[in-house]
Amino acid sequence: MPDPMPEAAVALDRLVKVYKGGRRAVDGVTLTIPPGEIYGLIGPNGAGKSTTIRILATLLKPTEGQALVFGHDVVNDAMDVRRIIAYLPEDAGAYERLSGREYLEFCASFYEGDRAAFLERALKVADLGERVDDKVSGYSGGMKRRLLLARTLMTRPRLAILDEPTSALDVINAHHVRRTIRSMVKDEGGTAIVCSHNMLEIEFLCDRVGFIDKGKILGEGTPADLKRQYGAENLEDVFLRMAHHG
Amino acid sequence: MASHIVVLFKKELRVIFRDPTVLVGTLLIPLVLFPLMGSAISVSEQAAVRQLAEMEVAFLSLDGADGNGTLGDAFYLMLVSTNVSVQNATVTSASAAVNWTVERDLDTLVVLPANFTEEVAAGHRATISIYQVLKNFGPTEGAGSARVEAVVAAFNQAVAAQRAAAGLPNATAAEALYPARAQTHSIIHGTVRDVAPEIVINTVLGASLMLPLVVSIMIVMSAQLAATSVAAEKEQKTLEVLLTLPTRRENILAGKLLGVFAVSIVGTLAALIGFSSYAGSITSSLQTTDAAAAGLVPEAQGYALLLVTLLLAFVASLALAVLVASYAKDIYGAQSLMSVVYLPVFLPSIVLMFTPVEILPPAVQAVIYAVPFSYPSLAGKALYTHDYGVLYLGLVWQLVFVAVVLFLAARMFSTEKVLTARLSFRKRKRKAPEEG
Repeated sequence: MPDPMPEAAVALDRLVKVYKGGRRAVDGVTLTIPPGEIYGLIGPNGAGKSTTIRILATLLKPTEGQALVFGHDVVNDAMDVRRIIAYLPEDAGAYERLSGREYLEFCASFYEGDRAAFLERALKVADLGERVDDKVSGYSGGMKRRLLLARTLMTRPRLAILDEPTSALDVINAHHVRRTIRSMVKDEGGTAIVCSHNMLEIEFLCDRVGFIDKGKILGEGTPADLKRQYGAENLEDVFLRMAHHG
Repeated sequence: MASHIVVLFKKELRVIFRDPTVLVGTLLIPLVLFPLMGSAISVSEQAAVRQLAEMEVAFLSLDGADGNGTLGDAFYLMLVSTNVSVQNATVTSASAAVNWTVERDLDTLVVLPANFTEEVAAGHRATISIYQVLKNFGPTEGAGSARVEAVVAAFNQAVAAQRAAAGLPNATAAEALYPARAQTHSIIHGTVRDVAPEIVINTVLGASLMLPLVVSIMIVMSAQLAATSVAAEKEQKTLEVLLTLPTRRENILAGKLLGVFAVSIVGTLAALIGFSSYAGSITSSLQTTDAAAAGLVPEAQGYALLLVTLLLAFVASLALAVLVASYAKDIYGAQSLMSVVYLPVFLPSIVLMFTPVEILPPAVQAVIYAVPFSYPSLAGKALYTHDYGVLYLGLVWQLVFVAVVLFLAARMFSTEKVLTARLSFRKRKRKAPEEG
């Protein structure tokens, strides 16, 4: 008797999203992400990346097709999905009048488990020191992003959905965030899907990448395999050649 | 689930109460500004009363009549009896008396003409000249001349009464001058009360003037808070994360509504305390009566209806505000859209402050009854009229309205519309919002 296929962390099957006005933002995306993988979703502006991950995050409903997160349907089992994911939007904010600690405690309240442990983990990821008790309104952009990343990772989500995780961060903060994502996800057997325009970041973080343009997946593979396949020096060249041939 | 609502409720309270503009608008202005306004009015009134009490009148009589008991003396005694300070001008002409008055910094000059007694006794009209010194042109500066004119009127009545009594030996002077008098009573809830109707109306006015205004302010304030709360989530980019937390969307909505409701209650209490101080200053000059003695006692049923209609109006405004704000991109947009809510809230209240709904044209009545926010003001009046029939019908209508608006608000929050809905007054472009 063969071993049963391990359940995919993410399974998208001919996913379509059509907005009012008829624009097909996602046009038949099919991909699978196994547990424990960090998957990069790359594409130009308007390619359908954010729409795809917002569907996974249960913020949008697909027009056609199916999206499963560890076997749970994002439409019919939305609450089950929300219990096992954590979503970091590109331009997320935190409540300006709460302190960093209060914000983390607020978010932790909704999850089952040891909330003190969540908070301790969050404080370690955020690395804000005493500033964690200051109001968020006084934080720099980098501090806010670290706080939000801490919020995302503190509950050890089975799937972390990260949209431009190092957006608007300086080199030092960006480096810290990338290393944190990689270590936290890999060390704890989690899975992550990362959207980014930063090809270096994708190469550093991701086990596999998928290229999306005009709502369709153009190609997938490990960064090394893709560069070899397209004779490119970097992923940017891979994408440009893929888009040209597609 | 209940614990999630509590967590969300506490978050809303923290976020709202830590906003300095909310503290100023909700607590500071009602508790400080309204009483200050009332105090300002009281200070003005007291200053006016003091000015009247300290009034000094110069008096010059050019009346040539000799002896005591002249009509000039009678006028002088009536003037002194009004407790003004009267100083006799030691000059012999009106022009000199004017200078005499100004030099001594007195307020008013009264000059009785020559032959005053002779003319009046002969049945002719004599002219008493009153000169009022104006320095700062304030509204109370005319009080001196007004008081002297009142003395002239009293003098005229006394003389007329004497003349009338002379022809009716069995009548008193007052009976001769005023053969008939009116004694008014009020019938309140079928019982005759020995109180004049205008006094009863003034008593009710004190309460009914305040209630519609405070209710409107309270509803608008709470709606504004609710709209800002929703719009702030979009503006601060906290909404997407909030919606992906493992809690039902209805909990998020409930937490918001409860949080805003709690803050609104605090604001309302502050407004009631502050405004009652202000309104007391305005209505203190009106003649009123003891409400209980006049049979103006609200019933438990009336209070219950007032409370329920108020609660429903509150909830309706909160839910409507959440719906409206969902179409805004930011706080500024939400506040602009909220203007469509203010008109139906304020209009009935302003109309009902001064006019009973029963005497309005049928079309206006229909509009008043159709607006769910009218019923707290109607219930406030019904506290005294004990007329509850239309209120019970209105309660049903309010319940239906609240149910529909809450359903729509919950639906908005449950779907992606809360993220994607936009209200634009420009021609719609066929473009998908926030796609990536």
